[in-house]
Amino acid sequence: MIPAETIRPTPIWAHSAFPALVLVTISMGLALVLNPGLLSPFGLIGWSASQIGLWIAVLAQAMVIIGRSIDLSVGAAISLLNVVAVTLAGLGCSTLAVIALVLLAGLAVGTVNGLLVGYLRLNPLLATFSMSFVLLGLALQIQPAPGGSVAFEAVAVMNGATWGCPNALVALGLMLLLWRVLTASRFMLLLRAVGSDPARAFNSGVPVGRVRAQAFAIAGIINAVAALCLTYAVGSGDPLLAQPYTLLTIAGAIIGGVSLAGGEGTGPGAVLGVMFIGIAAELALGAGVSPFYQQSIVGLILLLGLVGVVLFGNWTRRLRREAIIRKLQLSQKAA
Amino acid sequence: MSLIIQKVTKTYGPVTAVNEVSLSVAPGECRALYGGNGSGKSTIANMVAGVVAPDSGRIEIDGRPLESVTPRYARALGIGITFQELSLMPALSGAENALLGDLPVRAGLLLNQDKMRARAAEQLAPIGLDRLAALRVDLLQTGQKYLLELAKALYLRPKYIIIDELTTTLHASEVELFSRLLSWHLVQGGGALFVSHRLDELRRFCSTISVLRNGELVAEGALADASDRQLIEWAGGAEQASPVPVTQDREAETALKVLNLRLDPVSPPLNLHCGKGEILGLGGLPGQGQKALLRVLAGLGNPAGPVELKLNGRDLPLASPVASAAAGVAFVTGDRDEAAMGIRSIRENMIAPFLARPGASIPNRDALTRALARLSTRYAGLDRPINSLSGGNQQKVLVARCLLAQPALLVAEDATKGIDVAARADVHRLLREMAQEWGTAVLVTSSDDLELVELCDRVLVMEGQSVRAELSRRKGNLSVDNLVAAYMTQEQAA
Repeated sequence: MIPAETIRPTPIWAHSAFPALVLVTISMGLALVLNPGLLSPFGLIGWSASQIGLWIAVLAQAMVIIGRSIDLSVGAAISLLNVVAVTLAGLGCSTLAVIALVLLAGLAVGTVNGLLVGYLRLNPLLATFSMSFVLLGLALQIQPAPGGSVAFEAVAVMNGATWGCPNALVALGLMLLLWRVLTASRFMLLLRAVGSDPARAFNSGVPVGRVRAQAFAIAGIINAVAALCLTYAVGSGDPLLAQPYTLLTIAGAIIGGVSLAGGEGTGPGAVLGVMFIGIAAELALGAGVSPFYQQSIVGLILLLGLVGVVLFGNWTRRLRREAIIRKLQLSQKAA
Repeated sequence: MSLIIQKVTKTYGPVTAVNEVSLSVAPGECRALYGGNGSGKSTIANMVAGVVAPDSGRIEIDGRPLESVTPRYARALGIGITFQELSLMPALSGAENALLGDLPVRAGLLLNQDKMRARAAEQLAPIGLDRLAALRVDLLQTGQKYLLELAKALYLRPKYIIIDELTTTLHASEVELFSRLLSWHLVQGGGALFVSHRLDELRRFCSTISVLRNGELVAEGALADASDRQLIEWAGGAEQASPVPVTQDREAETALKVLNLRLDPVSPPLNLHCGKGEILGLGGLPGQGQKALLRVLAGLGNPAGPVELKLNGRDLPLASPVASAAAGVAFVTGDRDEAAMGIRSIRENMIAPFLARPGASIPNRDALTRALARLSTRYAGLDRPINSLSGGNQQKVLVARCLLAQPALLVAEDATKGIDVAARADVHRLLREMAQEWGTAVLVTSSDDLELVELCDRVLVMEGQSVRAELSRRKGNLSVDNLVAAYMTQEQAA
């Protein structure tokens, strides 16, 4: 029964993030043809600063989905944290104090979600959907209309570059590094176990509720980082600023290979997924189609990407399975 | 110092699953827990494992009571369990699954990958899976998964291990590995509670036995003192373990014809036929294409190339279970995760295949009740959810629903998996009756060679997705010895 050779866990083409990588490469190529200025130093700074909030927020969403939950309050939470940051700055808090308080606020929101889903066992869809209105109401209470500002120096840093590399990309790199550390943690393995099959994880002695709650809490902190980056990229507050993030992060995570069925997917894959969505928007813009059609075009590209990812995923999974079965049979014969 | 279960009772609605049962397992003892379907074996196993809370009674592990009902707490007290439905997470690797109960960490948070690899190798080598440790569990074969479940339970070095129907799906060579691990556990001073339907295995591994019947303890003692006949009687198996099979004499006209079927791109084409009213078995080592073949016939799998499938002269549709059902094919599997819709009612589960087909007439409640009665199914009402039944009775419901369609072809994949001798005899009798009354062609696989020999008119031995040998009752060469010899010689010759 022992195969003659060890079977490699995952070849590159069978990696869950591979389709997203292909999509980003192709769409980026097209975008550059339409708009060569995109990768100029200035263009890159502008683009990455406009996207950084979404790039980081998708990590939070990916974390939650890997545990077979979903967070429909991402957009509202980040919008709330944005107006909190601007309001604190307006009250005269130093930038460091703003960052610390926003991180705490993010943790608090995530923890509440985590308690509802993990310990009270509410359906994550309903719990976070309701939560999104609670957060939206709070945001509108704190700052009903767009406006306000944060420390100019911090805005300059977020929209600047270090040795030619846009600082927004540096921030993304740091978050991916943090994700890498999380991936190597005991917690992440337990979370994948919970996401893969909650009942079996419970029977295996995994504290399912606690692990889910922790995932939401960590996602809350990541949301706070996203909110801070977004706030310093934009420089002002808006209670509806990040509303679209909720669905964009879900779509992006799925394109990036994070399975709604839980247990599968990676942070970098999810980031590639939302990158693809962002580039799709650039494409529609660059192609010069009427603004009325733009939304439809972006949606269509997104839909095609999604279909491609799903079909490709099924296909590679089947190929992989067949390859392994064949190998096992060969080695059985050899034995 | 032992595992003591004292007068535990558990009721589910109107059904008393376990009634004041007491038993104990001492270190070094392997106790058999034997009984029919719904006799409460799995409920007891789950209560000890901390999955199910007893209504009353007491469970004590080396003097410490099982106070909080969570699997985590039971584990901490020294209980290991292998679940009948497995506790493996499909998206995790074999190594991750096996070590999940106690992950080696660095600085309290990060996994220690070196130690993980070392421990996984140590844990999986005895079951021959160390080289597949990094592979996702859902890529493994069924037998490998069950061995992994055992390795996972033993990893925490439990003082007492509960083994729930683990060996049912294992092949002879895998049972050998299992036996080695179990004896090592017992020699180390561990105890075991072994739940199985197979008397030969109980005799091989166990020294003492507790027999359950309808949730009550009916006999207890040394296994050597009781004969097989006695045990079956105690468990309530009024019928014989091996009923006399009905032999097929007439040369039946062909019902099913399979030509040029390739199950995967590299295998040779496969041809077979099955007569009207014939019961045809597919045997051999596990994973040689038996299940894949059945699934193609049921419209659940795709062949790897063009194929000719004919049922009573008409082409069988491919890759559509609905079209297959409409063409007169019924499918039943022993994998209840896949076939039973847990929280829906027994009635809905039974009429689902008809609801799925536009224009099919839905059987009425009388028909359902009659079908269930033919298998002497125990249930509290047609509108109760199917998961309120024991595994064996769920399986009877799934078999009974095949009756309703009067199928021209019945495809049964390990249909008696995890059900007791009496229930198995019921299912066998029913399959034979269908074959005789309606001329239904019946295709079956089983992980149990004896079952194939008892039930079938003819058995095809498969290897590498094709047919390598044929044994038939008419020719008089159908026996367990011949069947085992047919695939064992292949193993040596290959």
